[in-house]
Amino acid sequence: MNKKSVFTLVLLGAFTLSNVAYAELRRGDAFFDTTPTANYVKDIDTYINASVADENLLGAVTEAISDYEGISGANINYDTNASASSYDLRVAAGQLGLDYAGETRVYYLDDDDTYQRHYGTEAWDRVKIYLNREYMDYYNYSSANRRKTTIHEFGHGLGLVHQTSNSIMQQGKLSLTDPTQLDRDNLSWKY
Amino acid sequence: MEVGGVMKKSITVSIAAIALLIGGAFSYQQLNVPQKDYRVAISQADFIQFENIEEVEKYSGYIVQAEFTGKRSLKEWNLGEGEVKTASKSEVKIQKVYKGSLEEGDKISVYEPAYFDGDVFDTIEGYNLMNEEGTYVLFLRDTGDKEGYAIIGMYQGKYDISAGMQNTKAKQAQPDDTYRSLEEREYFGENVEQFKKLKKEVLEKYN
Repeated sequence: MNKKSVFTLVLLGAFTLSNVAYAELRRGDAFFDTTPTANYVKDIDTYINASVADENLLGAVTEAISDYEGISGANINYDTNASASSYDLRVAAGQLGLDYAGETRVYYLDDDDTYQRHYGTEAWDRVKIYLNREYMDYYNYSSANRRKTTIHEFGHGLGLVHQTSNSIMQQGKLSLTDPTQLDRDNLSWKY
Repeated sequence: MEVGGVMKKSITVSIAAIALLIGGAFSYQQLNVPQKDYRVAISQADFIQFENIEEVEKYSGYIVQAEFTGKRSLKEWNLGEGEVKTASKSEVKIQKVYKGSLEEGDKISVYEPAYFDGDVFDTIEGYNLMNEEGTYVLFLRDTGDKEGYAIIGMYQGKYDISAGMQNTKAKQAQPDDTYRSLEEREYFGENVEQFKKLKKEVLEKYN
């Protein structure tokens, strides 16, 4: 094997490895197998529990809504006039003795008009987001860290999966406070 | 022996035989009833993913070796306006203390981020519940309600080090998996390689 071939192989290997380590999920790969419909995301009936303000996280939730509604290429809108009994998205907060900052739970409506937990292939009918102030305080989350988690969970609520780089969908205590260009591109492609 | 005595003995033996047959048949039926299976619903969560076990230790107020006693109930946090967050409250008996003010023999409650609800196994990020066969190294912190302890980083703070679990059993759950196909896994979330790395470090240090 001549020097040129070896150099080409090394370059190719390095390129492949860098792509494996920092793969950015795009378009369909950036979403769960089942996702909200475009009809759902253009008018998301949203109920924000009083507990969100009680835990001093209302600003983060308001910012998340503003961020996603502001994506020019996507038709995403939250109607915050929903009631506690009838909503598409509910956000609540508390002091939970569980070790996470935020959780997103998805539900589908069964034949008896009852909301059931989503297993992966059912319709996407309802989302609940829980924000855990106890965890945020234990791990010394800054205001930016709290906002990142909130915007991250809202991203799940739109069907986005975790990413490993360049995305609000990266897991962890990070200081990103807006969906990135990658996130905006993916949401614009989808909605 | 009188005829009446023989009759009585025969009746007694017959009754005993019938009782044995019925009891045996009942036991056979019990053993062969298929165990209930559950669909698996996995929540997404945002949390710190630890690079190594030293990071987990840093945030742990308590590090113990413990066994699950079999006593488990539901823990509910009231978030107001009818909204409730649910988890499992599981009792463990401390066998060894590596860090913190607990003592060997203490029984404590641990909040686990998973629970059974009807025909569903509801888990956050693929956390699996402790079982009575396991021997666990647990990394814990106090919680606000003082009734139970939180597991640091959920799956990152609970490791089964019993003989049968020295080779880590973990895989990422697929949409068609049911609980029966996953129940022997310690963890079935999306960060399998990270979990295996942490488990290897735990086995080297706490085994």
